[in-house]
Amino acid sequence: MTPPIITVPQQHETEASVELVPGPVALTYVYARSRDTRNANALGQDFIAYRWEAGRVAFALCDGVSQSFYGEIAARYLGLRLIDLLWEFRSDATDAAPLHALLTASLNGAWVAEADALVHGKYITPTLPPMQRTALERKREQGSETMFVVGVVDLEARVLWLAAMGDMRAWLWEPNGAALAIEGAEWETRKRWSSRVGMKNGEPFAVRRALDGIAHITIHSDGVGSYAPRLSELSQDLLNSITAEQAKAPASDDICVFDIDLATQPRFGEYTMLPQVEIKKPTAKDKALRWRHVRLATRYRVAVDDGTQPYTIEIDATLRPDEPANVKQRSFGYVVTLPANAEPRPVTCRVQALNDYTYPGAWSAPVTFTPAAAPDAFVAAGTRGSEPISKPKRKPAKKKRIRALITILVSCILLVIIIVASWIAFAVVNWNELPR
Amino acid sequence: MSYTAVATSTTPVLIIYLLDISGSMSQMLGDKKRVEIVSDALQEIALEMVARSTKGELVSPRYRLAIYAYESVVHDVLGGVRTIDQFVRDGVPEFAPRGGTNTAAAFTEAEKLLQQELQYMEGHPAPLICHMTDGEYQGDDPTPVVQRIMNMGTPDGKVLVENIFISDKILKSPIPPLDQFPGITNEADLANEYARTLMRISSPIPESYLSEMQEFGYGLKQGAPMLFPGQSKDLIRMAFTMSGATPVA
Repeated sequence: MTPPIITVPQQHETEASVELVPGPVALTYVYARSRDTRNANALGQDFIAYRWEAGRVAFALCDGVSQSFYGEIAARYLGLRLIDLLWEFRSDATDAAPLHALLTASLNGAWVAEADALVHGKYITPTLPPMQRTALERKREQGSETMFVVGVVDLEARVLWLAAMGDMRAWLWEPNGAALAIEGAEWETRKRWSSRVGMKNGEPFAVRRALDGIAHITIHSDGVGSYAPRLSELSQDLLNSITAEQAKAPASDDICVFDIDLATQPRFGEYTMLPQVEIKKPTAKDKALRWRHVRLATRYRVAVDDGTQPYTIEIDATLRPDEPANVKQRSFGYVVTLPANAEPRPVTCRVQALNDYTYPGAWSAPVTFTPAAAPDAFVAAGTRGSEPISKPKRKPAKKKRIRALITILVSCILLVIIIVASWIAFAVVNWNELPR
Repeated sequence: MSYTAVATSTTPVLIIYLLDISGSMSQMLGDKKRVEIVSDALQEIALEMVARSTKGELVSPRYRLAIYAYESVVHDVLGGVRTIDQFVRDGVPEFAPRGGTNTAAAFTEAEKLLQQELQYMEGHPAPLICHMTDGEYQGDDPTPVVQRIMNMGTPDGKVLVENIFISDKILKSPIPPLDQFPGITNEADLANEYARTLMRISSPIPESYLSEMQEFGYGLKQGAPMLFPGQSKDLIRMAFTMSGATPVA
């Protein structure tokens, strides 16, 4: 079964995180929105997605063009499509021609119409000033645009396939920290993918390269700026300090970095794998995801696929007191309520246990169900990697109070009956001894 | 003098419009009054600035605008400097032509504003003054005050002065299509003495602005001054496009 695509959320910052995957390979990523975007609590326009199984890692990083119509639309759409495309890509070729041909055909193919439909379906707040709405409608006609870097690391064949359009960057680092040349690479700002026309101002470049001599591969958006050369010595602390520094810069831009460390080695014995999560199948009455805690898990990843744009959310294994309304920790494990779409449609969910020092557990068996109807959408605070999910419908407080009162009343009546019955029983047993 | 600083929400560019609304602006140019064409062009460039400042629904204050409309006296149209996100709420004002053409007074107001603002503009793109007129000044010669302004600036560069001269006959020869029009490169090409004066008080187009204009499909060449003959709607639109061509982040 194809593993789910893992997405890093665009609606908040994700501090530098490491995920060990069988290989062993360490995947490190960080995501930060620009200062203006943070202040407005808007979506970031960079996008990170990846998918892995033992021996294979596919990744896509996209940088939505802010001058286009909601660059995050193109970034997310294209990132997901590219992962699917490269995951299926297999070739014995010794050059990148097959990948280049596949990409150019796909980038100008059916994806354009699909993304164009998303662009034309995008709701613009009607209360915006007329001049702003006019400007946005003009942008809509020009479409949503993104730059991208996509690749797949095949650990069995020891090959990297890489392709890109635009001014994002990929680096191949030697063990001594020197950058290896990427033959044929072009990082041109003008080149991008558009929901209106497909490839714009040129074609992507594609590269096939043996993994020999590569210690780690780093891909990032242009928001990293002049810090890029420092990524040769990549660490979580460095990534967090770069995002903090860049947030102070006048031209603060969204930042996304994704690193694949091919040289990681366990220091204390082999890495183990977390147990597999088992999800209790939701029923018509109880439309929530439930699973029991698995040993050593510090967080869980929930993959949600409604057949359009799949996403993942991460949940801390130890929830804080301000746990999000859609996630509950119970003595037996976790309950996650998922959203309903405007048109209720079934979703397929899988759950995976994670921690920072072992391999993630295998994905749970998928469960498919239609989430309970929920009126208003919200972003679940407190989840790592949350996506827009709907607030579960709560029972009205008044109803709850009435139910509590009835319970107390019934309890009192029962107590009175027991006392009276006890008194009668006592009287019957001791009838002859009663004073007359 | 690189003119490479980009306009951001923390380092916005200041653009000062000096718009001649003297009585002659009610004359027709093609099928519209001159003042209406200017309003339309201002609306266009304001929309472009909004588009360039908008990320999703968020409008970043990358541009700061001041508009002085002048005739015999100068009117501060916006009541001071407004950021583009403030400007977007009110829209482009309407102008009623009247009175004379006191060009020097308008530039003097701009100079006063720059004196107040420049001290806070380290790291910002150099400010730009976009002056639009349709006739020779009355009263004082504006040249000395413009020359003083052109010596002011930020580390990014001296204040840029752009002149748009609306008139039927400015160039001796016809203007080619705008994607081939290199700009006015020779004083001798001008058919009007006041146009030559304006050319002398127009800044050369910086390289970074040329790149932006080429993105819009204009064929302006290096060395051309920021002087635009407003002989048609399209030329006026191009001239106003130049006023918003500061590189943005």
